[in-house]
Amino acid sequence: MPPSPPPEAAASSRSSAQSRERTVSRRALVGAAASATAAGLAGCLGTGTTTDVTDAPWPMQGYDAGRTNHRADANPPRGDLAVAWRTDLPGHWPLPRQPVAYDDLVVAPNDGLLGLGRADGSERFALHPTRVGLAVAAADGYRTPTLVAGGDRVVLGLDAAGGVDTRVGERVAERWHVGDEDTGPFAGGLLGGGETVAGRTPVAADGVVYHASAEGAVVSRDAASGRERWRAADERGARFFAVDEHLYVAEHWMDVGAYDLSTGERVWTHEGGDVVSRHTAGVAATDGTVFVNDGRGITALDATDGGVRWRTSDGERVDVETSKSVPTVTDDTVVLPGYRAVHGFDRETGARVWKRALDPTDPRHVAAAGDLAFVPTEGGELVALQAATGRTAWEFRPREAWEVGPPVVADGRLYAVAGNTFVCLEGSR
Amino acid sequence: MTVTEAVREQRERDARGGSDPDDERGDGDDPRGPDPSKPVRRAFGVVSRRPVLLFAFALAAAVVAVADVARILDPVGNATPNVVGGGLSFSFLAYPSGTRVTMVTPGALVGLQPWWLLATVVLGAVGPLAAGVATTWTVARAAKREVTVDRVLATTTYVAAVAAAWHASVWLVEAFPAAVAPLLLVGLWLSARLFPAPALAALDRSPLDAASEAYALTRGRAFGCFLSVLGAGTFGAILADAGSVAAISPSDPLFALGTALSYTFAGAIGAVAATIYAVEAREERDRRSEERDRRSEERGQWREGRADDGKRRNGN
Repeated sequence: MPPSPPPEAAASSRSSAQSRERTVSRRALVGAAASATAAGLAGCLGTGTTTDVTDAPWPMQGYDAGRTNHRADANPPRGDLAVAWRTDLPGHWPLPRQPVAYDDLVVAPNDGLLGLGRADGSERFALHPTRVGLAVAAADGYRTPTLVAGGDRVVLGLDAAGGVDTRVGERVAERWHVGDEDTGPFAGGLLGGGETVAGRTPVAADGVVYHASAEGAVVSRDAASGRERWRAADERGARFFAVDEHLYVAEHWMDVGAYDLSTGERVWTHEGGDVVSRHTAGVAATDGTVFVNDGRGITALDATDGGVRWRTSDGERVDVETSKSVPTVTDDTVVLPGYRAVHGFDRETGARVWKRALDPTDPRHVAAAGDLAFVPTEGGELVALQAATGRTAWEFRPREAWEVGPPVVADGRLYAVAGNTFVCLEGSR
Repeated sequence: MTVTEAVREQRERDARGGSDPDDERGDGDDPRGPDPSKPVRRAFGVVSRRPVLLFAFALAAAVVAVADVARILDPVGNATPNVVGGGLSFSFLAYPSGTRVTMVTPGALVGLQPWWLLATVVLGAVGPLAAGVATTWTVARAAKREVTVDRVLATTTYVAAVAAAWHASVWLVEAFPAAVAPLLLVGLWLSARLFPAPALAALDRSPLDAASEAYALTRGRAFGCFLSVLGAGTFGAILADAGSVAAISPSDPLFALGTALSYTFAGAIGAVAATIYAVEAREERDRRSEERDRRSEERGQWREGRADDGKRRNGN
């Protein structure tokens, strides 16, 4: 190899663990070389799923591109709760993050990404990288969608079907890879400085994924190829994203910016009501209205020009500890989790409808399905509230679990990380 | 002045200087391969005097840049440099494999529609093809040889083999991250030992013979060749990084510009340096061989003379 410039300057827990600890035989090693080379080609001819993710029951954290965190057509369990299946998760301290559900899978972000069959919890695939932000996006040119998985400083595009098992080594699933690894001597701020949460909160719409760069800039990226479509030059610490007419970005200082989806040009800015720099706004958007947690409670903005439609009364600001709380937009109510309280506001007027003395876990995200909203609490419970009234529909305290993550609802069942297990709950409907 | 003429001139200078017969004798018996010194440094001189030698790699860089843009715009997953905007990129370049900004990983092929798979393979072949043709032309111009279809095929085959080995190494590292250290060491060692191989393929050898002869010509000189590889590599890396430091994203044209610059200059310098080494090393090898033959003949004559003297003495 002549002049080669040097580098200048990517069922149960028992069965899961066993599969991850396969003994490497000589035959496997010999076969690995061939299978690794042919993996891509085999994958091309393999039985794929559709890249259409519109029918996915819960394609991304926050449910949809508007990050409403509400699936209106779902029929969640309403009582008589029982564990349909339970799977232990790897790692000592599993992250209580929201999973995603598509095809017949539910994927949990954890110490690696664990793809489980929704019917019985059997392991379909385990991908090594630890990523906490998930979004499934349509991928032109591919037979399977792209699973966008992000960490603090890295964002990956993966084959949503889990790639190909080479029998030895990692599964071949990575379509693209941007950013640095989250671990190592340069991780955590040497380059980006401060808090870096590049890939924790991606959203995807129409084959495009939006996420933050390690420096806090807004990045639009083709989900299939990973090609960067645009990057907003003004880096304001982008944290949460919502897509409707524009891309709405919750930033530090409780501001919200609207960006043109095609060009990345900033269309309008809504200035927050909090002057604490480290506080971050929350945003959700649907049906031409942007619901912003801007430090004053909730402000509803016109999606086109940012004009204020309604705003919760000034007194709510004192009442609601708001940093990083993202509104959940149900049919009639906007639910906002705060410090030791969950608030419900009328979606049309902003008037307070109810308030419950619960202590939501941080990050304070409430998932909702049908007419129920699910609040994970610091006490290790999952509390289902009537979204319209705030009344408790049921409470679930998982066995031997100290914490429950935000759930997703699919097939009339509820799926969530609970302590060091992943649980599927079913009940009367 | 061609490379061959330069070699002859150097030999004449050496002859005029009157070398020590003992040294000559020692050199002729030296188990190491010949030692054409500082080929990269001298390649800079040759290219500065004959900038036309940059032409083929400049054209190849343009063709590869077009293929790069096509790859960036297609929906196939792309392995691009990691850090941009004031940082260093971590892309890898391998001359003469035709590696460029874009690179496909095995995962990017999983689930890919057949049409795009075909397009990816075709676009992937552009790099080695362009590098093969450019290497053949540059070597031929430097050594005043003809460019023939056979030479182009031989060089392109060699380049394609290097590119395949390079991609296989990258894929292997992706599947087995622990393999990076041994693969890096083996890669650097082979880079040194096969330094003149593309020039030999472009001159008159089959790809396999070129590798074999290059291995023989660099025997005992691996460290010197490694320094040459390092020199050309650092030069190419600086040129490639010049654009990436200012680039905003991996899709930024500045990345393509940096890579094109690197391709043009480092490619041409690498090809000329390999030619210098190949031509000089062959001349040295032939000279030593002739010297050994001459000395052997002289010894034989001396022994015959002694035997004749002895016979005469015995006869007397």
